[in-house]
Amino acid sequence: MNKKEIENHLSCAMKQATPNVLDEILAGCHQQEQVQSAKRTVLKFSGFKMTSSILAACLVLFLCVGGMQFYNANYRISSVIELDVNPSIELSVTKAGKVLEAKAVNQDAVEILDDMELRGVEMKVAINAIIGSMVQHGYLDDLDSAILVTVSNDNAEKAEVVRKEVVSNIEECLKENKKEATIIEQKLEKNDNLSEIAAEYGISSSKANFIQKIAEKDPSLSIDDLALMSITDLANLIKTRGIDISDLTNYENVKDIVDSLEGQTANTITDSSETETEATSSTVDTTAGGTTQEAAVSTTTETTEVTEKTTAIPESSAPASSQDQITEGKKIKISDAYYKNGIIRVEFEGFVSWKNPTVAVSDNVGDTYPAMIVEYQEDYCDIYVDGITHSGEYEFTIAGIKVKNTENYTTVIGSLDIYLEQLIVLETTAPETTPSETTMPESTGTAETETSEAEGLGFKHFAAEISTKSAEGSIVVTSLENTTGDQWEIKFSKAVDWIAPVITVTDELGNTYVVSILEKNSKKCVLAIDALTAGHTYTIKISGIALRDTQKTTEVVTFLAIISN
Amino acid sequence: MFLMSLVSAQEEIKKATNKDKSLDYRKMSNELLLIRIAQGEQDAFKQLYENTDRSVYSFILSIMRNSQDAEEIMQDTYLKVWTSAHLYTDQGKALAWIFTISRNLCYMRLRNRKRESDIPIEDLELGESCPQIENTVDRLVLESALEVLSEEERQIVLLHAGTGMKHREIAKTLGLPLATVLSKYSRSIKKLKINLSEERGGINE
Repeated sequence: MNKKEIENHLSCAMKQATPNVLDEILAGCHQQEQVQSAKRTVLKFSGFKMTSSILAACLVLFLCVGGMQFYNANYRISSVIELDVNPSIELSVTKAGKVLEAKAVNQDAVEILDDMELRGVEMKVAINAIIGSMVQHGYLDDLDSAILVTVSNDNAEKAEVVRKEVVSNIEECLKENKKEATIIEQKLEKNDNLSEIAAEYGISSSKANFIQKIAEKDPSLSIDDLALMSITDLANLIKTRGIDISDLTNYENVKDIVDSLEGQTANTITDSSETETEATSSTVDTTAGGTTQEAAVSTTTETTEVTEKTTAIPESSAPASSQDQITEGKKIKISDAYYKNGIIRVEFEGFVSWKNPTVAVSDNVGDTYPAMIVEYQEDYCDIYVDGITHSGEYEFTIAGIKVKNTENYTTVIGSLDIYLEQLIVLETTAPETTPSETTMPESTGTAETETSEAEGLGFKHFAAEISTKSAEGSIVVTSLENTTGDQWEIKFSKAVDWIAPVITVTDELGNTYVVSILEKNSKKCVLAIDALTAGHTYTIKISGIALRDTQKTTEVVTFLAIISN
Repeated sequence: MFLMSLVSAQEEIKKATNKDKSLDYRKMSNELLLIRIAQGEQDAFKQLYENTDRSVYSFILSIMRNSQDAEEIMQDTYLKVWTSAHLYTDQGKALAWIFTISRNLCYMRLRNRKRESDIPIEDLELGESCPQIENTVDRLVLESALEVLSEEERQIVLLHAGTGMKHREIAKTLGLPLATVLSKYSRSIKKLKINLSEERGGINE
């Protein structure tokens, strides 16, 4: 079965397989609208009913178990206060407002609590200590910092009172420390799924609740990504995406978030979290355009150092397989790695942080290449590599990287296949060609061996021969056909060998175009050429090709004029 | 008499306007349709469905590798599109936004399934992928693609060969460089060729 047949079968299969579910969807849309309007009515009613029930229950409790009051006030958890910045801390507080337990939910919180003994102290004192410690640890340094405050109490009113008290304590404390932060007050709805999410991502249940609600409101966001973000990042995200969270939080504070973040320029998750990137950029050029020769030269010593580190990596993290996407290292997953114009772009699943990142690149023979990370962001990095001259499998080792919001920096190893034929222009290889003349058919007429015009397709092909002046004769393009979309099939007059094929496509203005060899054999090749437009004549130059069994590489040039799209 | 003619004239205008409206929807970009959907216009939703159903289904099928799951997630995706269209910010990537929704739904389902079965997602047995395809060869080729290709390769192949999306569009929608899409597509087709010839060999033997 050839490529065309496979494509046809797939097209037919998908035509048959795609179901028509529009009616079901429309019915679902209608149903959802009805359920939502019904929910709103029920909520109003049940809200009133629930409040009165709680009030009645409180009254009964007051009359019947008055004797238990003292115990309850001093030894029983009345409210649970959760403070999330990135450190997440859970305070269990008695009715009398004393702390029964202060729990660190994540590793950052362990540092914040350090050896503080908060048991038995007043809630206000405990909050002061915690916020003070967060300030000391630099968590509230940014102007756009945000703190998520969640209070759970069986009594909604009591929860409201405690929450207000907590917020006022935090505000006071921030004022004392001359810091500014947005305080997001959250109403916690109990949900079985929360503890599962919290456990899975190592976050507090209040943060789990918050991100779950955000993900429900904007389905294009995934819990996986949100769980990795700090509260500050989440607040930025809410603002930039215009997500309405008024039903999750105190409404006035939603406005506060918007107001406090109004002046910022950050407009994506990435932008906002850049402030958290722990990279020290003193040794690495982080500009996007830093792919210069100078950069390559300055990395020589650094590369040697990295290579040594690579040898120290245990065998368990050795590179595997010839695939171009490898997932290695602790928790850091590489989603894609590809090479273009001397740069290897490595993309990560989820967000990462950097600290003095270094990189080593080697090929499958073990030769190392001068390399440096010229740009690093929280979801990708660009590695400049010098001296890659042949296609094959290359391995890269990146050090000074960690999963965002985790503790230890680690090393990631990946590998990729580099196909030099994908390059638009390859200056380094000089095939052994005899001097040749490349002329446009219009100007000479002699080079034009065949002119074919396919009016339906709207292009004109001028086949031009580049004289090799060799005894073996020359290779001529006999036909050039537009097969599908941006794919072009080129047929040759004689059987050929592909030695080190490089194909360039340029227009009359000298602009180059992205070209890729999709298929090649002794008689023809299929190219994918991007963005060809009508009204231009393109020069397609194929080098690294030889007449069968001669091993003498030559160049074949042909011209293509696009008349209409 | 005058009143009657006035009423009939008004109806005609109404009909014409409706006709124009339906024509307009066909000419609208997916981005514009999403804006209309956010305002509750069902016709815009129908048009968006018509424009994107095959691509969305192909994308979901490439992740789920099972037609039943794919169909259910397709329904959920469009329901989410209907309820969340107001959250879409126009960046000229409407299809990418819909894909993100469906990808999240797919992963959620795969995660739940993994939790229930304690078997790694990639090892889950998927059964017959597309029993509704009558032509045996068509079904074989599709099943082969779902079986031998990686998730990203499946997405690229099904979107290009299955729905006719151009490589450029796929690169833009999936957020991949064009060169990656092209090389992955080419490699995938080669893999398919080998797999299909092996299968054929096996059958012949």
